[in-house]
Amino acid sequence: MPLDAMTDQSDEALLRRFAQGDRAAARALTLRLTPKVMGHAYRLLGQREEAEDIAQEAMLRLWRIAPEWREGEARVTTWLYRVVANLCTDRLRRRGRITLLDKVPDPPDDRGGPAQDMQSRARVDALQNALNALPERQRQAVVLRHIEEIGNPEIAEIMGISVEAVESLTARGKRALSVALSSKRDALGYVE
Amino acid sequence: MTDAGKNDAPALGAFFAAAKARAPQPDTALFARVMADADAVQAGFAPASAATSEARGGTLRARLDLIWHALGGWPSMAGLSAATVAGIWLGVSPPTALGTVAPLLTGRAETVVIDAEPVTAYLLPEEAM
Repeated sequence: MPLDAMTDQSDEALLRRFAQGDRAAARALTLRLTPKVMGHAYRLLGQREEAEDIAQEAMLRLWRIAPEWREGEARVTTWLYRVVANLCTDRLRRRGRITLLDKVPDPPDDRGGPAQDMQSRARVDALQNALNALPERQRQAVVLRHIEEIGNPEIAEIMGISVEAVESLTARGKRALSVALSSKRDALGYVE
Repeated sequence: MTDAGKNDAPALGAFFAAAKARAPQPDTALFARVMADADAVQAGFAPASAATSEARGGTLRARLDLIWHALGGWPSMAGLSAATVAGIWLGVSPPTALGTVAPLLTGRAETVVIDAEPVTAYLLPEEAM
């Protein structure tokens, strides 16, 4: 499948074109946003299959709201991250508790040498397991800030809280991650 | 940020960097599911879009159809035809009663006196007495 060929167009412009019946805009948005949505859902849930379901559902909601989308009120990605967070919260509540993963599925990888690759993979798995152990809101704030690299004001908008609350959540989340990961410093190359 | 946060940042940075580099990627099947949803939703509002575009830049026939339906179609045309025929008939062969009114309409009347105060009709007999 070719890469997103409409890189010069904003998400909002593509969504407007989608609502007008442009199928190419639908494909561009699918290629551009599905990885973000699925990646975020995976980090909040820790399970790939569930993350895929959430990603599909979030994108479906985006398609449905397209005709009523009001440009300038919110960014499409902000709206999507909020939808993903809500869907993940519902999923976690249905589970009854946050499941700690014994083993995180290994994504395919062709980067670096074997030793470097092994350490990188171990770090990703350890981080995901540590994230899974965080309270839900802390996990979401840390993922948005330090993995998705979104600014605090936008995170505040996504989570419906103040910027100060975002800072507090990320600080507490990172402290908890440090404690969890420092116990594995030898295996993971954790350097304080 | 707290001191602890500052100290933790470099160590956690390697973990965050690894997570970003190994972001889970959707497979072809998920892309296909998402696109199938997009097609299905788009099909739901495609007819409205198509009708709008035809009306805006459509053929002459489409535009005439639009005007025809805006005027009410065949039922309103039947009423309009009946009114037209009646008007022509009145022009060709006016009823006799119309003759008294016609001069007023055409401006050919010699003199027309209209009493603006009908009450004088009752006063006149008394004055005559």
